[in-house]
Amino acid sequence: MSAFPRIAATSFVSCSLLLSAAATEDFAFFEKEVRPVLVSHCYECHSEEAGKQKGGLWLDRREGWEQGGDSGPSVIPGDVEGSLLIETVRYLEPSLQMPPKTRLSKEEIEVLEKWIAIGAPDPRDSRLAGALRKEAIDYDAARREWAYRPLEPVEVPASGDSHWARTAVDSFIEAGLDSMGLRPAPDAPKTSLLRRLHFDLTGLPPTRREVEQFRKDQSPEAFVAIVDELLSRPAFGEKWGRHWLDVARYADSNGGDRNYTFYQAWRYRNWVIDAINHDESYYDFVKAQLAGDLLPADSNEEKARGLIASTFLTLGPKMLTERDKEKLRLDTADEQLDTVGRAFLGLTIGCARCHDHKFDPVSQEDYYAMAGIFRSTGVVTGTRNGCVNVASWIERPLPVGGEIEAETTRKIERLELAMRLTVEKQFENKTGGGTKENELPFSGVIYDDTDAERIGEWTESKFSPNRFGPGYIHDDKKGKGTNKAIFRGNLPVSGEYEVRVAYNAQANRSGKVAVSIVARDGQYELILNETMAPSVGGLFEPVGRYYFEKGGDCEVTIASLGGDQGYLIVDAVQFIAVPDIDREAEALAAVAAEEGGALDPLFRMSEKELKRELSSLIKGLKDRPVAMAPRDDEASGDIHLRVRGEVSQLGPEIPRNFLKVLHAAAPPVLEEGESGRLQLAEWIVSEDNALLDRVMVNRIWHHLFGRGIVESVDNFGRLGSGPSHPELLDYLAASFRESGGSIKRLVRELVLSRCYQLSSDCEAGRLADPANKWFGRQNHRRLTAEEIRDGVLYLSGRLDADPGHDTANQFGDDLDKPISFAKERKRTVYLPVARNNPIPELAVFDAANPDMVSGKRAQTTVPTQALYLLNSEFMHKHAAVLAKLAMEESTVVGDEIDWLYQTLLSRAPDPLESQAALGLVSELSSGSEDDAAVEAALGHLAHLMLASTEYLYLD
Amino acid sequence: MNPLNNLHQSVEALPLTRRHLLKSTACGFGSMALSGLANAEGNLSFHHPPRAKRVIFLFMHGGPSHVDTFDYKPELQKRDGQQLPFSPAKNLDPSATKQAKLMGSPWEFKQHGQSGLRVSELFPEVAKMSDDLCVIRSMQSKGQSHGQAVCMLHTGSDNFVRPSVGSWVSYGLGTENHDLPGFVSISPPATHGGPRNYGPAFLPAVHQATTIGSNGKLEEGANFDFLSPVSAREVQAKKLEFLQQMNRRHFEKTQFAPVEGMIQSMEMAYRMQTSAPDVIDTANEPDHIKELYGIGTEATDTFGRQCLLARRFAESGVRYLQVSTPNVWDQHGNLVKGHERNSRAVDKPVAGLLADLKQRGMLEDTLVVWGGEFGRTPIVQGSNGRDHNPQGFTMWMAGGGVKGGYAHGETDEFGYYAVKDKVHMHDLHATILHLMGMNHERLTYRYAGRDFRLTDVYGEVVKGLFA
Repeated sequence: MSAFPRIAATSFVSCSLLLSAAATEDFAFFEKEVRPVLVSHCYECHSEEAGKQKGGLWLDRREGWEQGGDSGPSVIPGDVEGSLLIETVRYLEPSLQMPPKTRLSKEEIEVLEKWIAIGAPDPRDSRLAGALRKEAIDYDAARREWAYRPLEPVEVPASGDSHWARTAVDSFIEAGLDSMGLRPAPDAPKTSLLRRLHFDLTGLPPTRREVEQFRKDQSPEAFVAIVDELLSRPAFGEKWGRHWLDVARYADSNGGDRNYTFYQAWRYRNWVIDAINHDESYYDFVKAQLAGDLLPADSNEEKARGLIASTFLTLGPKMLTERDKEKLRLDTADEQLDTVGRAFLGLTIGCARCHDHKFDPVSQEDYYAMAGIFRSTGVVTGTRNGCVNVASWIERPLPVGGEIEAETTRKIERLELAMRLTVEKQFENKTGGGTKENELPFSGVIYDDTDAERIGEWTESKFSPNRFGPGYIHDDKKGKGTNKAIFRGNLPVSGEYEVRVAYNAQANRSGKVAVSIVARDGQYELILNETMAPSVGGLFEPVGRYYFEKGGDCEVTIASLGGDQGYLIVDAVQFIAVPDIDREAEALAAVAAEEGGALDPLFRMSEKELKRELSSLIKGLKDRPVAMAPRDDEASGDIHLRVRGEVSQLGPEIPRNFLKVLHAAAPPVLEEGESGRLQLAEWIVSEDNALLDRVMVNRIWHHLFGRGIVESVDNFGRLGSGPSHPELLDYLAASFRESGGSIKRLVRELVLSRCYQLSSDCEAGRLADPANKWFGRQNHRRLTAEEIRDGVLYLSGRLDADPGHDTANQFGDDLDKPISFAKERKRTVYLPVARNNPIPELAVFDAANPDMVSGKRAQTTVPTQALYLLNSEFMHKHAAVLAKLAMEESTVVGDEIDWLYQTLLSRAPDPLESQAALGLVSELSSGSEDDAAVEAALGHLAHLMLASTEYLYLD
Repeated sequence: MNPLNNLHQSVEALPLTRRHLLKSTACGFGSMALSGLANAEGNLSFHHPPRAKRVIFLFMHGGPSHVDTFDYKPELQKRDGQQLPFSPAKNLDPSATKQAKLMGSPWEFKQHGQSGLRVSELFPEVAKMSDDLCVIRSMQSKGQSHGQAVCMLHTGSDNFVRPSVGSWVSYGLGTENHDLPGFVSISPPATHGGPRNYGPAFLPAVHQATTIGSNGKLEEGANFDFLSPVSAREVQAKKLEFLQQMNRRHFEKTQFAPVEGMIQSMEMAYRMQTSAPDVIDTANEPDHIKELYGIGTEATDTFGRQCLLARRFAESGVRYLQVSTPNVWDQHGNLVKGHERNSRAVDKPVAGLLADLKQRGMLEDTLVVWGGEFGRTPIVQGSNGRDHNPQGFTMWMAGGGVKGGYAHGETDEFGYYAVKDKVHMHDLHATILHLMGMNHERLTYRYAGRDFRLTDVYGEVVKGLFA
């Protein structure tokens, strides 16, 4: 603190022209010694001359180091040890070493040290231009922008004289076209419209009969009836559920570094399909995905649905082998936050992890305010299969009621405990206790007797089976008053821990053992009676709760007091974070109850036995009703901002909050142990947040019109495309809100608009508005990967229309092996989605990449698609089935070609086409009349139709 | 296994007329991507003249030990068995760091060539090419575990999903040969991120690698997916004619650009059925060439065939090639046998590839890069193993505009931390792009409201490596 007067003094001196002799000398030192070091090693990245300001830091002027970079001031005059500059050039912290390529020489470092010691005299007076200063986000201004402002009533434009418009949507579109002097395209031919409607609503083509029926009754009422009927089909939820699954980056495996199977993800997938089929309110739909596990429920079923819905948060790809566990937690929180931002709000909040968002009103503080909520949400946990370096994820039992539920819960708690203990034991065995931060399981840290510094004579023993680790030590009733065992801890995270001492109790033990603990706030002493059974699991006895700092004092000494003749036992010392205690206690209680109050047998199991137990439990759990749901951490709390996103570079602690640009009010008040997720969910669906509605109605529009009103459907920020029809967007958002968030009603409203029913074929429109920005015609679209496969199966009568369930679970613990869909006949939405291992037949047709939110799929045209269409067995096989059907269903010879056209393309061939098709069939059957030869040739024809652009693209 | 994405350019968002379409096809859409990008800065071709036309990246999956191969440390040899005099890196296997005892290399190093580069006896054949090697002894990367480090090496990110290096190159430069993809990965790893390591992430899917073989294995007769026609050739020809007629009628009616694109890609696919197998089939290679790569000798056959295939693809215009070993270099234990077996499997094929490229005059514009996701610790793990070491390790390059017979940077006296002229993985990426004629700060792609780069906000071109 004494630094401030010195800065002031130096500034004053340098500003005045009357330099004291001392200052002159100081400046001379700067010029001669310091400046050359800065110029040759620092200016390259931190000067105006080089045009670089890495880490936000300028070192070519005094004001630069005074203001400092992202990590704060870099020089504190007079305080060598406290100056960041010195810390970095000394290369002490691996993540912050400067200059980055080659360390300064010892002499150069000494120059800088001396410079700071004498008060950092610096004559370089040039000021930072305004633009170089850090600028604060103007939230008030941002809140008035189109994306963030509240919804206000929008007037529907008056319809023109043409009576073209049928619905309010049409009026908005007409007004836009009028303003550009454009005319809408003619209405689409009826069969094109029907094909489009069927694919858009159900992902499947219309059947021949449906086409015929529609041709017979072309009245508006008939069309409405078809729309309503399609909306009520389960296939609607399968089609539109898939749209949401794209956004939710749904997958059945982890991807990342270990592609473990998500055995429970399918429940979420089916929940989405169900929710859409039941037209669940979008607001409830969103809330459940963010906090379904926390929402109150009236029944077990409702509770289960909530838990399953919250799987949304846990579905992301995770780097499970990350050895830095805090980084893993923050990366996981980041993935959740980024997904939530894009999926619900169309905002790239993740960009603000390392610095303020460059374009959107999201500051780094805003990021960490929200990240605190997700950091307080448990997703990754402990370890997997006893490997300390591989994390797993939380699974929670689904309430099924009664005895089964209680048993499942117990088993899971027990499993967690078993996992923890196995790993800790294994870890201890491996390291002999040389525990290092970040390599520990999340809960307790245990030091075995072998870690202790022993003073005096000790005897090693394995006599009592009730022990931690391979053995324990005792004093053999000698060295009374002098024997000591000192455990020196190194805890990964600062916080309050309960310290426990392990010993096996018996009457012949020492009744007076001195335990002394050195923690942050000092030294504590107490007396332990080893004749009394320890209270935790019959092995560990708590000796108080203390605050330990990461890397700070942490010592437990167990010493003989003398004066009694019992055996002094030293087995292990455990440090367990206070928030972990309750869960552990519950698990232990459950275990104890099961064992009739006896000592927890887990403690007595060998590692091998535990592993066996563990794997059988895991195996059993696969069939248990559990969900991959998150859980609020007991250690919920605000987190520190991370400078430049570096996990180890702590900035200030940021109170948890919602997104400031959308939430002007005070941060929520959170109870202890609450993550804030529930409040976040309530807030995100609140009426004040119009962005939620804008983003969702735009997604729906995008799927029906081929392009969003905001084309960048996942980005409503300044670098997004912005809305082509802002009033229409707000009108739709308001009516969506009014309908209570009914997706079906909005879809219905849109497909009944005239605008939806326009032809895509309009030369005038194409010339006047090539990109179709004004929606004067429909957009063509290619069938999606799913539609291609489902359509072929459906037409050949081979589609199994029942919902799929745990289709991924047959492939084992990871989804790295090829996943063939050749035999599978369920709809594609039910096939396993393996990260890192997409089904080639789907990937090639631009199926969504499950690693990220994708509200809009790419539509590529590449030769591999052609190769697939030409050479895949799937196409050939089903084309052959279609040929067979054509033969069977045609009463008159020669009708087969007509049948294929009607069935596959929903129209009859014209005479020229008939002739060409006939020519091909006879050529390929070599003119043979033989049924088998004709059928084979018809198979080729059917194959070509399925591979034709007319089949693959919706006009 | 092989997501058969997109052997070629994407025909998305094309101009509407056929004339335009053909014109742009002729230029290649990859080059369009670059010219579109360069256009903004008033430059119509590369950012600067390229020194390399193509890259062959030889990936040693698992992390070969630098102190046993290309980074000789006399002090380490001298202090074998002694305590490391400073703290080991964070997040390593605790059993290795608890004692932190140094282990000298079990192998002897000798100087080779005119340059006198030191190479250990694990790489006798590659050592003979010493005067062509540009050895970087001060590599640094991110990620103490394989998953992170492998992704870091391939995509420049240890935790996020980002496009791979080859995808960026394909995006920037497109393909030279329109019957072949611009980015091919031979036997790519299926683990540690798998396809992420050759995936396009948010770049257009066309820039994903086309793969052949997997996980360091290349079966005889391996091929790109769906390349083999189901029907007889003449049947297929007839069918294609009918199909194209159908599609052309559809296009005439709709004037929908992707329909035209599909017509083109049908033709291209048909041609590829012939041209790709011609490249993949190595039957006509003379015996002395096969011998040069070690093909036919059990230990070196697999990697030899992979390297030969890489040369053939390179010759045919593929821009970015990767060849991968299986995940075999991870010698936490059994270092002596493991590294001997692994180096034997790749030494001759790699040297053969260099020699073959050289004799064909291709080495000067082909950048060959050799390395793993990290090196290994100079401290012992168990009694005969080393842990991961991204803190300092060695990779080398050859050809493509880099100095031969040159060693760049240093690790400390034991080979633990890079200390001098450090080259971070981001720097290596920047340098590879630079050699290909691209500025890593200008090769960007806008996704979700941000301009992304291979090097994120990092990366410096290491000009000291250039010839």
